[in-house]
Amino acid sequence: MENQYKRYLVTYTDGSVSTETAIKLLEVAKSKFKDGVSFLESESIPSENDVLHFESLGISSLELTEEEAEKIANKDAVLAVEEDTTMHALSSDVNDEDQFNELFSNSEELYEANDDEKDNFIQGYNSALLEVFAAVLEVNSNKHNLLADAAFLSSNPKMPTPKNKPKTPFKSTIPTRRQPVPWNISMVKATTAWRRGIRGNGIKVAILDTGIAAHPDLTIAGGVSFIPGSTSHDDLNSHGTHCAGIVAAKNNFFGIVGVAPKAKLYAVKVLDDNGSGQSSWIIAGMEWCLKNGIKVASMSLGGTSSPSVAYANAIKRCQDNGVVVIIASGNSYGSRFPWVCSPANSIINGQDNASPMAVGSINNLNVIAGNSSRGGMTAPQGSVPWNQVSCVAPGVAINSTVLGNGYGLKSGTSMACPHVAGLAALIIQRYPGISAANVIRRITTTCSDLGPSSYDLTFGYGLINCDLATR
Amino acid sequence: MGKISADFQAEMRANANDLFEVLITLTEGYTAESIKLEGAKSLMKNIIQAKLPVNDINRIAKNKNVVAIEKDSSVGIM
Repeated sequence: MENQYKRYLVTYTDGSVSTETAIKLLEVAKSKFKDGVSFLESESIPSENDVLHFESLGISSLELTEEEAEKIANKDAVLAVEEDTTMHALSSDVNDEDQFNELFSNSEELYEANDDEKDNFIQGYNSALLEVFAAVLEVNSNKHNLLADAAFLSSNPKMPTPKNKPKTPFKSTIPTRRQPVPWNISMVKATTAWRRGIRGNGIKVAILDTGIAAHPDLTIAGGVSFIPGSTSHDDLNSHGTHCAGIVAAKNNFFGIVGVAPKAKLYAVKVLDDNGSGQSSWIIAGMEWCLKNGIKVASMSLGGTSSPSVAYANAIKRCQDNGVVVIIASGNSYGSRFPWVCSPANSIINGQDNASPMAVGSINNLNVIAGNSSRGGMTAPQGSVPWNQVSCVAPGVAINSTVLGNGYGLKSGTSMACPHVAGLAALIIQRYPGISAANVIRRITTTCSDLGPSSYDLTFGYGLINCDLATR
Repeated sequence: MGKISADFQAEMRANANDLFEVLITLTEGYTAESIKLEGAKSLMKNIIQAKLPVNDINRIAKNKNVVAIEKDSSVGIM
């Protein structure tokens, strides 16, 4: 990567950040820090070494390499790091109603505020302020008014829309670098949890699959292979890499972002490069999870078999010891085996921990995927010894990481499963020490109901909700 | 359900001379050593994998510490 310096705007998670705190966070010498407002009021042009700090806004402007920017962006206390790139002079007076209307309506973050979340709205508000200050740094004309308006907004943080709206159209032409958020991540309300600092920080999530390939949007913390004759957990199929991206693709300005972008990914290769494996490989992988401090096992795999005693025991052992097991329900609906597949169908009557979260798949309109497995075979004596669908998540045309540093669409309950695994990581970060049973309980009790009743055999308890589950 | 499913029993009857890869689940607290099975591979504390002829499968099924014997089934991506 080229070590080219560019000016970036760093927005802190806390609305106001002291110079001392910023110095520590940015790891920059105190002598380089300038009070942003005073500096700009003196009509000075910042040199490459100047760090302009806007204390009351919680924003700093400084020159960084891309690598440094990414490092800072990964800090918990930092909300965003955005490149201060090409800008154009504001074409008209900023003190105009429509200028402000445009400023807000052009904001990607404000678009997210449409889901009635106050946090989203404030985020959009902060983003708009960020753009104002990006303009201030480059444009000398109108500078004073911009600062005055920003100060006004800053003093009214819970009133995102100014009462006296300016009138002239404002077209923000400042290209900013934001992480594109896929529809499926928004649909499960992960972004709302992130804004409360819940991003799966450090929670170990294992992807039991075809391995995980190296990818710029993924950090693989470790892994293992249980494929006979193979010691590498690299992925030559793409399935595991795709699932890994849904769980924890990084929040880094490009590609996609996962449900729990700060979770730690582990590649547990239990399926070969054709996407096939044996139950014994998978149970061995689950044992590895137990021994390696994994908190969530995401298993986008299965077969059309009846519930297995071995799997039920393995799942129980995992969940008794703090490893939440999330498994795809299967893609067999409409076949001769329409029921929840194995191992998602595992159950031991009276022992809740022997059953995993079984995840079905819906599309972006909350419609169940045509082949999403559901229900279970009824035993002759009338009981139902078959784990049912617990919940659903997006699983149709999901964009995620694939081989060759690329991105691609895949569909199936395999894609739904890692959304729930990501949510489990968020919950475990939010409630350290929580039991697997209680993670599952939080997920199911906070689902948005879909289908004919609060629980049904197609949707389970409904669509997962990362926001509610982490409150 | 017994220790061996009806489907698996039927398959073993139909292929009585074959070797079968199986998963053997033991009562909690018992390990692979407790059933003295050579060549078995321990997957978890109470779950082992082995490749066995039908006679051995039926013999092991009689052990009171064996909960279930199942085929080591194939799985795949979903």
